[in-house]
Amino acid sequence: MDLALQLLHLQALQLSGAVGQFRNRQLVFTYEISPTPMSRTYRLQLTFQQGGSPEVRVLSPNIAELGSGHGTIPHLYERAHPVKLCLYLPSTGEWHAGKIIAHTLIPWSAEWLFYFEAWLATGEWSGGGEHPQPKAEKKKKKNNKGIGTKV
Amino acid sequence: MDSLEQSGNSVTLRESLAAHLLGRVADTIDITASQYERAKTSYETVGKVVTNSADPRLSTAKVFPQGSFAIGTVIRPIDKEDGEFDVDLACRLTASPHTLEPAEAKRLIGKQLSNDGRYAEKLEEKARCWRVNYEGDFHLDVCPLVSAGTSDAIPDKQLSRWVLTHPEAFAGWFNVLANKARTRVLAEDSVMKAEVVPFPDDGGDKGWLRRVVQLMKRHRDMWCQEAKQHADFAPISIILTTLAAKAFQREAASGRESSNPYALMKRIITGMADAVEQRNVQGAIQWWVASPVANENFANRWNEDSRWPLAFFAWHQEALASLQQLTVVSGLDSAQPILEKSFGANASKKAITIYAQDMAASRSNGGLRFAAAGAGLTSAVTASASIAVPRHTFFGE
Repeated sequence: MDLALQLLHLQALQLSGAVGQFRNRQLVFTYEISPTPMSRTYRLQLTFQQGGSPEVRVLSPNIAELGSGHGTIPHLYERAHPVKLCLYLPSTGEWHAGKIIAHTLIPWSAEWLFYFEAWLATGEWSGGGEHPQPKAEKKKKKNNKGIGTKV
Repeated sequence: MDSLEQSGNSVTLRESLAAHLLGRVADTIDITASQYERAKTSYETVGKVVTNSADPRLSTAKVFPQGSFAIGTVIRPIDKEDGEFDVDLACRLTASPHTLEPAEAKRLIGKQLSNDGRYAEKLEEKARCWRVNYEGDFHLDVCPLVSAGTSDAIPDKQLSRWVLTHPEAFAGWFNVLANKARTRVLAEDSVMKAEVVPFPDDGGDKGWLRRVVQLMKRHRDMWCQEAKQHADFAPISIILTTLAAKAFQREAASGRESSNPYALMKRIITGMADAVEQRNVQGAIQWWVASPVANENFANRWNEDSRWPLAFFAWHQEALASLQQLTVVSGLDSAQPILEKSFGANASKKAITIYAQDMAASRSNGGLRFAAAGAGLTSAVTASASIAVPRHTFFGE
């Protein structure tokens, strides 16, 4: 799916503060999201190069600052502001070039922010997920047993 | 006519989520269904033990729950979240208050219980009742009761005389109202497929009146710990319960639409202060929280010491303020300290965790939606444009 079509889908979401542009054959799409009515409004930026993997960063507020004192923030590729979010398992088909970014990464970014706020509140990440293992490890380790577990 | 759908009104959406979280808090401070069943089985057994006697006053006696257990508003104690909860039982002996002394009535019951091997170890004597302890679970307080015409009578605290009481009538009155306070009971399926309300919760089977009473009792317990000057005069549970029910009664009579649980809760809590009466009794103004089923003033102590009404109105102001604060937070993590202050750290964190786990479960079973302009992430289809959130796995360090 080409960049122009991806952008069309993104614009169709009618997200608040949405600005999309092409820079050096890269799609840069900035948008605002509030995962729940009681959540903050976050400003995020998606970048996507044809043939590459889409990346999402949080421009504001400063996630690293919000999370400081709470321990290691789960599921980030880059921890310095603006943090880069890990939203899918690479090489599994959760994301591939035929997918519509607007229907995958955008709602996934909303989810990440939701679980982030819940994690700040409770110390638990309830969104599930996995961590990359050192090469020696064969077993997959779940970050937490969030889904379906009794509290 | 659902304003959520039409305007995506962010205030209403905030309120809806606040109500949802409060419902989750109420869930966590309540006893579980199996605890309820265990308590019920126990008191039925206790009833059999008490009536297993040749003494006709006992053989035809009836043991039945009174207080919060009878009306579905039991809450866990705050000091220990897994601490024992109270079950108040009445044992109505077949005797007249004129011929049976309160102390003797209590002794008769105690003898039955202590003679039974199962209870001898668990028995603890209290001022006017016998406590059967089920360690780590609950305790049953068995209180003697006799019939006095159209009323019942229980011993006063000194066991010196009988005082009139109306446990069954009160429970009956409350339960009728409480059952009206259920809004639509939404089944899981309908919520995820077609319902418009993005935060699908109502009081469930309990109904919002019971939940408000539970939340307010716990709020009062937490408030007492902070407002130490008021702690000894904190509003007693029968008063909180009666005022909430009266406020709801007025609300129900007003014909206002009650499908917005937050608005309903707010009106009930606000109305609790309005339901406190001031009556002119022979030239003197008296505080009255009148029993709905008898000519009895639950707030008679307020007229003996003004620290009682003072504490009530101070508490009430706090309760309303907490409710309000919940709707202006920016970030779920900002809601947490408000819930914690009001209901306890454990209840607060559990409520938010359950909310988050439900969101994750929705994603797993394909029911999670994202509505950019409106409710955000929900497990319901809303009329405003929403997209399904595909399954995925968070990754990274």
